[in-house]
Amino acid sequence: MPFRYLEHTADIGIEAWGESKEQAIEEICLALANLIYDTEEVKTREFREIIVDSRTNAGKIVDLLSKILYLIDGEDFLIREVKVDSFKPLIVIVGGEPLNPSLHKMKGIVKAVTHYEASFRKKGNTYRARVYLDI
Amino acid sequence: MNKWKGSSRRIDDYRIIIPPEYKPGMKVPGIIYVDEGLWETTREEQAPEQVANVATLPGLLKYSLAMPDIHWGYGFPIGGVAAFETADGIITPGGIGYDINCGVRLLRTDLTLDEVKNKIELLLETMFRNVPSGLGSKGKVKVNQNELDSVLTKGARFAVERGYGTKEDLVFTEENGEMKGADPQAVSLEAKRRGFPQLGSLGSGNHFLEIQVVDTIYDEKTADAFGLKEGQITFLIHSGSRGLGHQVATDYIKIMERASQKYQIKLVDRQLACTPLNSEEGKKYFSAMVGAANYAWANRQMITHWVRESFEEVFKSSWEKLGLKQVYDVAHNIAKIEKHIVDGVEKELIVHRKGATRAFPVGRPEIPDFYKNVGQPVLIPGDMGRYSYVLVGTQKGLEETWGSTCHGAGRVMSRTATKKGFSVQELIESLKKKGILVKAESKETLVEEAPEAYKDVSEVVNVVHGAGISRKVCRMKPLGVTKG
Repeated sequence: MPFRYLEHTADIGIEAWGESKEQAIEEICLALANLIYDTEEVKTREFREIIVDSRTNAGKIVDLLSKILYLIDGEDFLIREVKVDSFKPLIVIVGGEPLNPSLHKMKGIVKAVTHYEASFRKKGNTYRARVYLDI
Repeated sequence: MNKWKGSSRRIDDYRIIIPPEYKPGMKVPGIIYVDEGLWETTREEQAPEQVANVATLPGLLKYSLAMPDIHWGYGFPIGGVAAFETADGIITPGGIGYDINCGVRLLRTDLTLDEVKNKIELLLETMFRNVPSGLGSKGKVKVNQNELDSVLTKGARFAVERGYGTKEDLVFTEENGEMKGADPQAVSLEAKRRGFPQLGSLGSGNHFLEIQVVDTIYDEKTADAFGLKEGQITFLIHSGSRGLGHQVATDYIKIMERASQKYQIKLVDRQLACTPLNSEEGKKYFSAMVGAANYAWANRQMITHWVRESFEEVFKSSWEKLGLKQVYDVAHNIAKIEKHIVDGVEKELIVHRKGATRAFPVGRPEIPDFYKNVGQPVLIPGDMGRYSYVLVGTQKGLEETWGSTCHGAGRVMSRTATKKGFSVQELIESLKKKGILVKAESKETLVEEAPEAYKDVSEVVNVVHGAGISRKVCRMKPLGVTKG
């Protein structure tokens, strides 16, 4: 899996990477979702568009993940797949389905996506995105 | 996380000072209430650096404070306390936390250990059925848009008007469970959507319901005034503002980060984003935060009602006959407007308490009449394997820490490390040997909350008692715990 969870005393971080910006973004979104439920249990039945207006790269990641968290927690919409449509402005299409408690088991809670040590940069040939979550 | 190697010195047995020269931009010193043992743990991570960071905020009065349960947080450390004048001070979501009005409520009973010891399991099961909890849990209370707005303005009173509890409960709640200044319009649609389905639910993580027995009395007169005595069964509720509060914090950190630049506030940490309290952004955040705080009080009020129903079911008697009355309810993630004496002059301040509890002494008008001769009850939950405490506010605390004290045990071990270190079965068995039964929706959550993940709350409480910023009244031992 092109992402890993980072240990932290009170909370948890996630770092994802890819050969392109788009891939790293897609992976970090799925890494977030996989903390809350198993994305393998979700089917893509409908799509939602997310537009992020942040000015910095790190801010884009924090805001995008915050909007995905809202979709999950506020609209009970579980994502299964993520596609970056454009980077400037950041437009992301997510595919998934509404939460069905008899099919989807929740495995974790995330309160918020924070700015602490949030980053999105290129290292060598790899793009890396990182955030810490309040859980 | 790296060990903190900054400069500091010990003032006395219970206090460490970080001098303002330590870091460029520090306007006042940092003061951390810790004894030598807790200081060693505290320095293992960067929480003291965060105390220094808070000291750079514009208009901070006197000192950047931290309580002995200090640990690393976003922006402020958990356990951080900071006061600013309302006239020209700032407000920051980083000084309040994502779980706005995360707090604790203590109920007492007329029951004794002998009367409940064979019914703990049944009580836990009944409680588990009656109080929605766990990952992704939804509340039992359905409200429409207008009603949710009423929750944000009326808080616990909304719940009482709906039949959850009594007016007397409101008297024994900080702010009467209805903090003034909420504006539902300042709470985003996203926050409301997260809040709608979760109203009337406990949540997950470190939130819990706990059946306890009072095992030690330290101050008989005060314990008596709080209606507490040795051998008595008590009940503790720990919960917050759920997704609504988390979204309010997320929304306003973004707004304030941009606005900080507008007000030319230099930030050493983006999570300390702030604006003047009297700016448009500051006022809006304050009124949204108050709304979220009221949501949390309504939530704890509803949970109280279901706890009472659960006792009625198990003991086949009314909650009134069982003596299930509220001792008090405190917020430990909040900013409040309060009057304090600063250098001999009374001023109106905005006091941020993040993982810290208000602890007012005799004489403060905020204290219910019933406790006016003893001071405000302060509720300090520990981990599920050790103890919880009731303290009382002191004059020294009012003078030194803006009437603030600790809020709990404070985490020392990561969730991943606890999962590696203990199995669920081992944990359940070791608690059972201590006479504590547990029930949890999620096995993972249970392991993450293992007692070893926390500082020993007794050590934390001994510091605030020794320093005199609050005083021990009694100690409770857990008998049964339900976790989300």
